[in-house]
Amino acid sequence: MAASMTSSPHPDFQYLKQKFCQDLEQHLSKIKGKKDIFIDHELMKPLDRMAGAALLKNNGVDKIFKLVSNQMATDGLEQRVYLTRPRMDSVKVITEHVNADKGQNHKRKYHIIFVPRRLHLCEMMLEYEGIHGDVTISEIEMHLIPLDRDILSLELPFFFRTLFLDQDETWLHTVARSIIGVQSLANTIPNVYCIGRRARMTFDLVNMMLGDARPDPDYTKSEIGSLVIIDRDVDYVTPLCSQVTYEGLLDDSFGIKCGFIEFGPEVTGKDQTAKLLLTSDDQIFEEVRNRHFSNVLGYLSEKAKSLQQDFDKRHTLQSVGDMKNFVSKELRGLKQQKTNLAYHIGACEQILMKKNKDDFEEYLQTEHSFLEGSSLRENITFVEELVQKQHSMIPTLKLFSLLSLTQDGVSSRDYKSLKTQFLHSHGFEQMLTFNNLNKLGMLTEQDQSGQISTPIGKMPSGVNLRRSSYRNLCKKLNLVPKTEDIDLKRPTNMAYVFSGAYSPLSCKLIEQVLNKEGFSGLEDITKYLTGDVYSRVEVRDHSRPKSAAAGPKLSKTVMVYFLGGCTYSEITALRFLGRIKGYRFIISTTSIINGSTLLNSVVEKSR
Amino acid sequence: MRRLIPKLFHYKNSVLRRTTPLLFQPAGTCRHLMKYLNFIPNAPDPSRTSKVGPDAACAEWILKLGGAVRFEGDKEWIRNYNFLPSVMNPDYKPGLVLDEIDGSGTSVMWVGFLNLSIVPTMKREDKTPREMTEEIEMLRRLLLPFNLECYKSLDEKLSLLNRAIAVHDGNAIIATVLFLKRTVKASIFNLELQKRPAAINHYVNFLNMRQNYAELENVLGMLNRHEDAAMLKYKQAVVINDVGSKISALKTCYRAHFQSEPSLVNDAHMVQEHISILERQRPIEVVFGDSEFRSFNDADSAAEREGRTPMFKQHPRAASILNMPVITTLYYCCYYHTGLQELNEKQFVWTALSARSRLKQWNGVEELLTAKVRLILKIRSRSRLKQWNGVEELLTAKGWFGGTKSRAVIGFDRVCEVLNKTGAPRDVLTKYLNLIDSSDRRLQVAKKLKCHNVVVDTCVALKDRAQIIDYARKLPITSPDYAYAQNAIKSSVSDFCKLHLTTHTLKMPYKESEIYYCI
Repeated sequence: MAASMTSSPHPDFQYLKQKFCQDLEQHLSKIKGKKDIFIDHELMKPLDRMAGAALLKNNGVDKIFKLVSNQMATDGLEQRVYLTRPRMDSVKVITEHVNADKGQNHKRKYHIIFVPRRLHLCEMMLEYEGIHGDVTISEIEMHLIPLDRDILSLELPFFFRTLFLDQDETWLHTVARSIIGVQSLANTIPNVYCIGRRARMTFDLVNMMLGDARPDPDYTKSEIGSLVIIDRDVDYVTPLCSQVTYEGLLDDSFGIKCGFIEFGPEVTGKDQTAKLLLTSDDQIFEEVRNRHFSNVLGYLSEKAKSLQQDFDKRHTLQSVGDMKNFVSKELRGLKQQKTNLAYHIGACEQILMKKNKDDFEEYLQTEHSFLEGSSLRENITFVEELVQKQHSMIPTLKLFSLLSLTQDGVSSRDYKSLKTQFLHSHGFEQMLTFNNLNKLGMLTEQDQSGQISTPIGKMPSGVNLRRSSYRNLCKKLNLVPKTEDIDLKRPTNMAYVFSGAYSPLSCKLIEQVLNKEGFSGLEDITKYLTGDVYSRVEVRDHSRPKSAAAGPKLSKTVMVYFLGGCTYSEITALRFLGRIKGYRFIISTTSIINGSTLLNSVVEKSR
Repeated sequence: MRRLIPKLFHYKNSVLRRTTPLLFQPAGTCRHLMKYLNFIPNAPDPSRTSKVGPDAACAEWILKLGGAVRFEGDKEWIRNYNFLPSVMNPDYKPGLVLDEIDGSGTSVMWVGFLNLSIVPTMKREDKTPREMTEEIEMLRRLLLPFNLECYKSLDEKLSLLNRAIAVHDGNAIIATVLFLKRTVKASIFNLELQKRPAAINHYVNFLNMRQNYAELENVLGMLNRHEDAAMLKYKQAVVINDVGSKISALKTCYRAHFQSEPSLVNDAHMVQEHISILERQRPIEVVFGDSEFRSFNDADSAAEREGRTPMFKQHPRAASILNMPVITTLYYCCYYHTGLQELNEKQFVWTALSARSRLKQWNGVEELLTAKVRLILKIRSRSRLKQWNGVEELLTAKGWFGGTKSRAVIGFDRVCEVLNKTGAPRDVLTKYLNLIDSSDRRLQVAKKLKCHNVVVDTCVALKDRAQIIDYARKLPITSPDYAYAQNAIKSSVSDFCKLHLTTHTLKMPYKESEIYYCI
């Protein structure tokens, strides 16, 4: 079960995949005969990464359908399997299907498999709709999906909204289970740091699930030395900044879903779209993913030249044997590289074009001076202009939120005027969105008296009233580098992921915590954070000169778990941190987000 | 007898050992989602054991699960948890010894398992731990859906709820909350709910998901969460499709929730504006069959359908005007209605009534917006309709002494941007670009809009030859702009440098160094 630690730098998470496939096969083989399968649309891509259609076909699945709302499904086989997340709306669709069949006196066998677990509410819903007796219910655990060598994701895009806005703790269970899953692969993680309230809850839940009956863990076998669990609400600034690394830009411009990216005809240059899997197996991508965008095209054109040279080798081949060798070994790889290279170049062009069209320069400039805290008045005017021009809603809202976060709240006058104008531009319904952002603390009005205006009784209780103070954290953690020239080509400062304007707060915090092995000595930083912090340190790092050289050695592998999602820029920043400090980071997250997806998840879509 | 106690614990531990690893079993073979609640009372509590001693802890445990115990020396069986006074007492002294345990009907992992008396009075000699385990294993296989019905006393229910909250499992929390809701009267439920924020959150979410808004409103009202209640009502109002009902729903919502809430003053304004914009949009876009406005049968949707007006034929509407934001509405009015009046006044016959009412409508809308936004909209609509005179009119103000003067509150740089976005031709752009005061800004905008002639002119005015040369190099050689730039370079050279330059060098594609040399 344990991974072959010596050969690979990271614990082998492929086991998670195998385990899921086994479970799925077991479940499907239990249902004898041919069957149709309906898959929740949110599970399509994850399933693609974890199992693939072939596995389903080999286990008696005839047709595969996507489960979408308002779907009519009266045809098909007599046996039907529903593979779904335990969400109310997908359960609702299933009940519609079953009841439609019932109305036509059509008898069928239904099997619902909930991923990753069945929930009381879903079963209640089935009971309420009168079909609990007609279906068999089971569950398959699917937790972390290995998206890449160092990225694991739960792929729960609704997680942020449910936990942080609705304060619904249902999905913490899944996070906790996934941590236990990782520990069962790589042994108990000795050092755990929790940044934020939910992080602590998760860790408590992990301990509670393991129970006290377990024997004392043997830390000498631990493959992962530290676990940092961090709440998204500790750092909203980073995801709202425009990404400028290649991978981040790809996500911002095209949207990367579960590691897949889809390029339209404008990139492929052909009529059809192309789907590309972005992992470290794609050599070209691996080379450029962490680069600042300014440094990508140069590499790509160089690569194009060298590829051409490799291709040209075929003219110099002397013997038939050489030729055979070339065709069988190199040609295929070269061809693949060539197609990928064409896509990447096409994507770069598209990004450049889009950004030029949208006045990206000015937008970025404003963003950077918000982060820096300079020329406030002009920047507010810029936001106002965007609002007046009916510039697309999400980018405008992103900048507005960023203004609020970096100023620790927008001054009352500006807030009122901007909000009113925003509602005029984008519809009064957006008042609900403002209400949501306000609750989250992403977009708030400064109080003149400097005190929290809302009485405690009125707030949804349990909400921590303390908001993180960007200005103070910025100073303490040196988030905005003082020197102007950050080398974007050969980065020496984490801030390169944002063109040298800002280092991600979340990553800086992680750096500090790992450095100090806990939070002692960081009080003047943690007091400005939104949530509480907690640490459990079992093994000290012996490579440090001061500590005694007894006891188990601390692994340099660090798992970072983002509750509520992380951005590609943060992943890049952590990779950079790992490179200069000698850590091996494994980034786990509930989903991969960017500014747009984050805001979209809290925008009220009434129409 | 004493010696048998460890055996009991062995038994207990064997249950627990089976419990804990369950979490690692593949999903589907067990029910770990609800098992949580099960697991709660089943879980051993070492702190308790160390505090009150193994026997008392064991007694607590078995009583929690619905069993009974008899202590050594006692004659009475204790069946109620609350009747363990010494155990509950914090200054309890250890020393109690368990004599017998009755496990019948306990929820040791088979909570609510029918009424079968599964484990008869557990005389210790009756079964060895191994046999017990097997029995439990079998029972688990038979296990019926988990339910909480066996918890009857309020204390039990509440401690269940507290445990569910303490472990942060939303699934368990909502299950217990709903169980509580079902089994106790409203006043108790509300009281207990109010004490537990996590329970409230989950309950509110549940109601939201089930769209049980009436109950949700009650809960929010009870908790004094007026803001949330207002937003909830507003949310319900805005999703209504029919305009008439929507307006009245918004009005009700405003009166009930926004009007009297001091913290919502601004939002209250917005709701009022929302109502008024809908009221203005409605007559513009009246759907046939809306009886109240049947007389307005020249409303736009009808006009469009019948194809009566050339305007709608030439520029078909993208969407209905209803529910559009304020700015879009005004743009619409500027585009279709003002435009019509100015252009085709004679072709298009307005009835006096509707024309007046329309005008009033969009004038009302205008008041909501700042002068800047109004101007942008007007320019945008006129430009789209290619009414350049109209644009000029908008940007002309009467001077103090009767003359006219070009003026724009938004600044001419933004005028140009708006014009460019709406596809204005080069000569129009040039005209307004030249009105930008700051030459730096003019240069910047002109470059962005690719108005090469303005760029060149501005550079000339700035006496920045190097820049023209640099710029000219980027232009296609065959284009008239290139010639224009060359011309400018030539004249600038002759004007400012007065150096000996042969025409020969000028015709050549320039190299920067050469030019510098010339200078």
